[in-house]
Amino acid sequence: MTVNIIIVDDEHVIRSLLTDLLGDNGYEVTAVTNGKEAEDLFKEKSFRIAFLDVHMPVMNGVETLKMIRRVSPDTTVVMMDSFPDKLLNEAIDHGAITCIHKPFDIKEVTDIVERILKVK
Amino acid sequence: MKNPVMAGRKGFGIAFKFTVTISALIILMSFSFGYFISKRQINSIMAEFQDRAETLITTLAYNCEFGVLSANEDILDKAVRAIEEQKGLEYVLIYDTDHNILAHGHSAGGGMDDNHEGIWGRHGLDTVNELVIFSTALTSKRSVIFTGKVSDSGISVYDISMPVKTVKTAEGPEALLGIPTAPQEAVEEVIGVARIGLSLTGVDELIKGTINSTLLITLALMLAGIVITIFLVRLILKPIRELALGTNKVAEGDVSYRVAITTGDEIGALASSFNNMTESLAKAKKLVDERTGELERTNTSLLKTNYELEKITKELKAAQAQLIQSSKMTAIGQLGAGVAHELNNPIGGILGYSQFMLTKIDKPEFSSEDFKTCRKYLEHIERESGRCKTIVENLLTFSRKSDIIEDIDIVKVIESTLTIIGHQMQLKNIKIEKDFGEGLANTSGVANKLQQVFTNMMLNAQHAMPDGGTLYLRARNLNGSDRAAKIAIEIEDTGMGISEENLERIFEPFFTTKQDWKGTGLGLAITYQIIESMKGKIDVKSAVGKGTKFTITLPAIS
Repeated sequence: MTVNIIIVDDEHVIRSLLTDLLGDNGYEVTAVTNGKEAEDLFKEKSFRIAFLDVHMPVMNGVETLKMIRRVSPDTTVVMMDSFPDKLLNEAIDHGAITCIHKPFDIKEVTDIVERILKVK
Repeated sequence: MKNPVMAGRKGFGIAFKFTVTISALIILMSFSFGYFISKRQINSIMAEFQDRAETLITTLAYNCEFGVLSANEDILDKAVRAIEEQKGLEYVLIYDTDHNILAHGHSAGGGMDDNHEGIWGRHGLDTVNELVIFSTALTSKRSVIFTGKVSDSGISVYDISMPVKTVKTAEGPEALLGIPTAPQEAVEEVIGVARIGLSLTGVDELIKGTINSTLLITLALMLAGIVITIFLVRLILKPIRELALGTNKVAEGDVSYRVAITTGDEIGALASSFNNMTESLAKAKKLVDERTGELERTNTSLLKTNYELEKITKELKAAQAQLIQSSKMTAIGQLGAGVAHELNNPIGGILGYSQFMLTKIDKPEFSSEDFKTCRKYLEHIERESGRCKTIVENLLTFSRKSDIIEDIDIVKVIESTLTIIGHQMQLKNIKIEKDFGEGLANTSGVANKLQQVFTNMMLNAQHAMPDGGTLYLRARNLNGSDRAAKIAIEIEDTGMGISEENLERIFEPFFTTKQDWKGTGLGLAITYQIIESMKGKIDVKSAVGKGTKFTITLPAIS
């Protein structure tokens, strides 16, 4: 069974990179620009892993995280940030397992995904 | 200005004029007086002399009557001798009606001479004139005066003649002889001429003496008059001179000078009021000096204060420049997170894609499909690198310490500002609505300072809308009737607004309401200062709970 991964980031290039990268690694990747869109998607299906940007318009990373924890508690959430912010701590408190800092190495991403999948 | 006192000294002095005029009057009067006195004296001397001469001739003529009638020389001689001793008598002559000399005598006491020429010659008498005198004397009923000729001895002679008359009756000379006759009507008959010459020497000397003494007295009087005049003029003019000197001294600035005149007359009163005036002047001068001193002191301290103020102003300007720079740095600090976000995203893309591409290239078989994918990745890398370049450029422009005044395209500056903070706005759920008019004019100034203004304003707007909102950015030409058109830029938010009391203070340095947020309170003060330096204006309108609108007006350049 293919692993479903959702990417939530307002940055086009990050969405594009993660889609290409994870897709190339054999995962089913869906990318949306904000938490609202993600919420809509979660109504239809669930995802194994979610990559959430901390800083996003409309609904930021922490709010999106809270939403996911509510509608899909099995989803493992990985935060992404581009600068240190107290929101990140909040995210960890709310159950995000880790955070990757932009700019990141692609190996970091694939390693995290692999580790998550190994644990479960 | 010419000193009137000094000017007055150029002509003749008043003393000179006075002295000359009065002296001239004295001379004129003295001479007139002398002339009339001597004239009277001379007249009276002459009158006396004439009286004497007339008495003499009358006596002689009377004494000769019988002698001439009887032709008795002895009697005539006696009559001649009787007056011959009279002082100043030069000659005595008795004629009959035929001009024959009956008797004669003279002061020299010479003997009788019958010869007419001899007698005349001796007395210096003129023959022709002699006949005229004689005939006149003979026919005249009164004595004839003749001022004598200068005689050979060089003396003037007063010549006087008188007819010798007798009273003749019808009986003839009998009556004279005492023979009684019947009373007849008496007839006066001229029977001869008596004549004398009186020397005028004595009279002349007397007249000369009179003239001399009169002249002497006149001159003495005149001299005395002039001396007295000079003395009087000096006496009168002395206080006037003193006053003039005083006036001069005061005019030269010596207000301590006092005129020493204590007389009770008008001059004294004038001196007294002069002294009063000088005293008032001295008081006024003292006051003026005091005030001048005060003013000078004030001026000195003002100059000092001014110098200090200039120093402080210089220091303030330097401090202000530093403040602008440091507030800019603060703004960058505030931007820090946003900038990191802005940069880290594209860099993340670049890094990721390049690493991804490297893994693709390292694969043993590189299909044409891989090539296409790599090309797509490269496009991503190129695009994101360009993004980074723009952001870095804008950041550099913003932080650069620039003073270059240039033409500024306002829209470009706003867009450039948005590349730095636009995304940040988006993160805060702030929608940006732009409305830039067509053909917007350029303004003149330092571009990065204007960018600092927009950054400040936009960050303020962002802080005013913590729950998101809309930021309106508008710019349009204000085409007035004159050529000095302006550009209006509006930065309007839909935030919390500013209370009326705070609105008055927002441009004050160090005024801030951002307690939780590290506001310096300098953002708007510096904004104001920058807009002012560009000869622009900044206005603000705000409604609590609705939003705030800043309007910046800048001069347009053609």
